[in-house]
Amino acid sequence: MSRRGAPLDWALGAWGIAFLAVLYLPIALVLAYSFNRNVVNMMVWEGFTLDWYRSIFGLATRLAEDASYVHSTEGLVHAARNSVVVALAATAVSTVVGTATALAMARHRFRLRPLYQALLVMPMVMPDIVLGVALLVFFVGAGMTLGLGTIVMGHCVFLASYVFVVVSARLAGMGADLEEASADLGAGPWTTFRRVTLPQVAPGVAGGALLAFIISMDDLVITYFIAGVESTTLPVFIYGMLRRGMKPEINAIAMLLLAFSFVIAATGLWLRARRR
Amino acid sequence: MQSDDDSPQADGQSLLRVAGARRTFLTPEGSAVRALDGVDLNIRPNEFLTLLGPSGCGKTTLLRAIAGFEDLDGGRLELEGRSLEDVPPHRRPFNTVFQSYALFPHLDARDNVGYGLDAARVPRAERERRVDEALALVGLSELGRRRPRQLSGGQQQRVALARALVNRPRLLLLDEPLSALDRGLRQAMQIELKNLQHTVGITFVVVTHDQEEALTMSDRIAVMRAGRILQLGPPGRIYDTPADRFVARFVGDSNVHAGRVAAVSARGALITLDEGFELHAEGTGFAPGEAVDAMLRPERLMLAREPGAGPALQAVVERVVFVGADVQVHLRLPGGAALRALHRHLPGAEPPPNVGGQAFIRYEPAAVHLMRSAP
Amino acid sequence: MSGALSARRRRALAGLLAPHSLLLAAFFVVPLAIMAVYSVLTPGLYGGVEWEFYPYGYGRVLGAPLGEVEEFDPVYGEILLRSLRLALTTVVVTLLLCYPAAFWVSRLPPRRRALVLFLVTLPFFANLIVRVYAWMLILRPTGVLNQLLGLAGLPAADLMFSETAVVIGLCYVLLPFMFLPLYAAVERLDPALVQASRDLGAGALFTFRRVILPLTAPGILGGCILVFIPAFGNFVVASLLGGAKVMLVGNLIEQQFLAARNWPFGAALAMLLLAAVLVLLVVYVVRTPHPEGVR
Repeated sequence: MSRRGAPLDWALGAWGIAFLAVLYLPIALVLAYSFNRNVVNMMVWEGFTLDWYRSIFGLATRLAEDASYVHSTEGLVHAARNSVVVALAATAVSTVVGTATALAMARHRFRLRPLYQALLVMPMVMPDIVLGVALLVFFVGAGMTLGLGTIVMGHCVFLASYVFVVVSARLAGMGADLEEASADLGAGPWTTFRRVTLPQVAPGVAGGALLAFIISMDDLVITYFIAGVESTTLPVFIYGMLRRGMKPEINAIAMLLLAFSFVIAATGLWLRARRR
Repeated sequence: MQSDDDSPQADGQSLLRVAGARRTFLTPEGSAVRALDGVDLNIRPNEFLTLLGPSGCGKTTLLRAIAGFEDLDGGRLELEGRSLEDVPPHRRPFNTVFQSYALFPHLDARDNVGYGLDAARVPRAERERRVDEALALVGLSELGRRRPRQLSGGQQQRVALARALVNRPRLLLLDEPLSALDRGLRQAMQIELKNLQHTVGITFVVVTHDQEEALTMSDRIAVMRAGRILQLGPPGRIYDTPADRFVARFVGDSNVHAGRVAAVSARGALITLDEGFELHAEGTGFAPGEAVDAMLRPERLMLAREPGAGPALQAVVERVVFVGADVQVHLRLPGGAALRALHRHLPGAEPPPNVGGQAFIRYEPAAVHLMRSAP
Repeated sequence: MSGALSARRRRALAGLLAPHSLLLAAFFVVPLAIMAVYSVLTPGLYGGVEWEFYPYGYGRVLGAPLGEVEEFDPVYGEILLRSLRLALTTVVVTLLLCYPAAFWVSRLPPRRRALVLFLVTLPFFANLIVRVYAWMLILRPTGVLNQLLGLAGLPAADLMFSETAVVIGLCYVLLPFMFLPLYAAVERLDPALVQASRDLGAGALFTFRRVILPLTAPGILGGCILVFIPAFGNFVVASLLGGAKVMLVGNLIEQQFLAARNWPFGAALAMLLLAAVLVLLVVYVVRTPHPEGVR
C-alpha cells in the first residue's frame, strides 16, 4: 500500500470496528440485562442472577410473583412447541419442493423460464404483510380454520423459494458434466439422481433446510395474520408480551431464542465453509 | 461435401453411420448457429478416428449427439444398421471421456471406475476383477482408494479412461482428452492412447483442435469447419493432399497461393499465380483456365545460391527464424508474394542464407499440390 | 431424432416443477387474486365483504369520487408519504453505514475476512423481534441511552415512540440486506482496475467517481431495493418503537384487517403496496445490465 493510502486504511478499519460494534452492542446489552437481579426497575443494575432463566423453565426463584408475566410457563412452552412443530413441517415440505424446482431450473431450458423464475422470487421479495393478509383472506374465504396447518402452508410458500435459491447456487457451480458422465456409463435417471446428483447437492440442500428452519422460527408477520387463537408461535407470543409492556424475563427469553438461532446459523455457515 | 474415404466399399464394415446430421443452436442474442450442417460419416470397427477443427466447427456437438446428449434437428444415427433415435444416453453402448473428466468427486478412483459396472448390476466378484484390470491397464493399480481431488491431472485422465473402458463400449468417445495436460505429458499420452486403442480393440472417436495430436494418433482424420466435414482420410493423405486451402492451412505449415492453370501438357501443368509468379506442377486433373489454389509445404522447398536443373524461384531473404531442429526462412518474391521454407540445420550442410541476400527456391513439381479454388 | 430426448426431458421437467407450481398457485397466486378482487368490493357491515363493485377503497387513499362509507381523507396520503420517507431514510443510512464497511471487509486478509463475514452475517439469522427489542431497551425513557446521557451530564433524549426510533430500528434490522449485495459487488471489483486508474494519473476522488462507483453500482442498487421493500411494508418495528404516534402503511393494513375489519380497504392498501414494489423490481431488472451484455 502506498503511504497515501495509509490514513484511508486506518479510517476504514475504525469504521469497520464501529460497524461490528453497532451490530453486536444492542444484543450484548440484552444479554447483560438478562442477568440483572433488580426486580423493581429492570434498567438499574443490581447484581448477577440466573433467576430469570430459572423462571422461564418454571424452576424455583426468589423473585416476587408479580415481577414476571410468566406465572406459569405453560403459554411460553406451548408457543415454543408450536414454533418447532411448524418449522419442522414447513422445512420438510419446502426443502423437497424447493430442491425439485432448483433441479428443474438448473437442467432444463423452457420458454417461460424467466417468468417462472420471477414468480419464484416474488414470495421472498414482496413485503411479508401483503402475503400475510392475502393468506388470511384466502384461508377465511376457503372456510379453513386458522391453526398450525394454515401456518405451515403459509410458511411453505416463501420457504420453498429460499430453498430454491440456496440449492440453485450450489447447482450453478456443478455443471451438467457429472450427470452426463453417469448417464454415459449406463446409469438410468433415478440411479444418476441417487448416486451423483444428490450427493453433490446435499450440502446445498442441508444449507437450504437450515435457512428455512431459522426463517420459519423467526417469522412474525405472516404467522401473526394466519395463526389461530390456540396456535401462537414464539415470535407472536413475544410480540404480544412486548405490546403489553416490558418485563425482565423477556431478556432471558430473547437470549435463549438468540442462542438457538445462532447455533443453527453457525452450523450452516460452518458446513458451507467446510465444503469449499 | 467431399467424402475422401479410403475405399468406397468401406460401407460394408460400418460400425456407426451418421447421415445428414443437422443441428442448429440459438444464441442468447437470438441468431441461429448451424453447429452441424449436414454431416455424413461412417465410423469403422476398431479404428482411431479424430474429429479435427477450430472451436465452433461442430466437432463437439457431433460427439455429444453420438453420445446422446444432444438431439439432432435432422438426419440419422445408426449403430450397425439400427437407429439410435429412441435410445437415451444410458442405453447406448458408448462411453465418453469428458473434457473436464467429470470424475465423481464423492467417489474414490475404484468406485468411479466401477460406477458403470454397478449401474449394469455386474456381480461383485466380476466387478472387482474388471476394475482391477482397468486400473492396471492405465497404470493406476496403487491409487484406487484416492479421491479425484487427490490425483494429478494426468492421473485423473487415466481414471476417466479406465472408467470408460471398463464397460467395454462399442465406441469410446473422447472430448479434447489431452487439452488439460501440459505439453510433455500430452505428447506421451498421444502415443499411449494410440497403444491403448490397439490393445483393447475398441473404436476411438477423439475430438481435438490440435492438428499435431490428430496427425500423431489417428487412423483417419475428419477435418471439420462450420458444421461440415471438409475432408476425411488418413493423416498422410490429409497432410499431403488437403482438399482445400482451409485444410492445408489448418493441418501443418503451408504456403498457399491462388492462381489459374495456364497450360497442361503430358509432363505436367504450368500455374500462373495471382501474385505474379509461376509454378510447375505434375499432372493434375484440372483444365487450362481453371482457378486453383497451389500449396507448397515449407519442408519441400530447398534453398540454394544457384538455380538447379529443376524449377526454381528467385527470392530475397527477409527473415531467418530459428525453430529448433530447423531454420525457418521467410522469403519475398519479386512480385510481392511471401513464402516460408524450412532449412534443415545439419552439420556440414550449407548454412542458412543471409538476411537481405538473394536465394533460389528449388522444388520438385510433385511437391506442388493443386486444390479446388476456395473463396 | 428430435422427439425422443426432448419428450423425456419435458416429462422430467413437468414432474419436478409440479409441486412448487401447485404450492404457488394455491397459496400465492390465488390468494393475491382474491385480494385483488376484494379490494374493489363493498365492505361488509361486520367484517367480510359483499359482492358488489366498489372502488372507493382506492378512492379513500388516492382522492377519487366519494363513496357512502369511505371518504377521501388526506391522512392516508400522509401515512403513505411517511412510510415512503422513513423507508428512504433507512435506505440512505444503511447505505452510508455499509459501503465503507464493505471495503474494509474486502481488504482484510483471507482468514480474518472469513471471520468478519461470518460475524456480519450472523445477526441476519437472529430473531427479528429480539433485535427490535434490544433497541427498546436502549431507547426507552429510562433506557441505556438516557442513562449514558445522564452520566455525561446531558439532558435526556425522548426518542422512544418517534420517527427517529423507527428509522433506527429499521436500519438495525435491515443492515445485512444492504451489506451483503454491496460486499458482493465490492469484492468483485478488481484492485488492478483501481491501480490502473491511479497509474493513469487519476486522483482518489476521480477514481472513485469514474471507476469504483460505476463498477459497484449494481450492488448499491440491489442493496437499496432489498432494504427499501421490507422497510416500506414493515409494521412490527413501527408498532414497537413508534407506538401509536408513528403509523405506517403496514400498521394501517394491519388495523383494517384485525381491528377495523374493513377488508376491502385493507386489501386496496396491500395492492397499492404491492404495485409500488413491483414497479421497483421492474426498474431493477431493466436497469441491471445483462451479464452477457457487459462484454
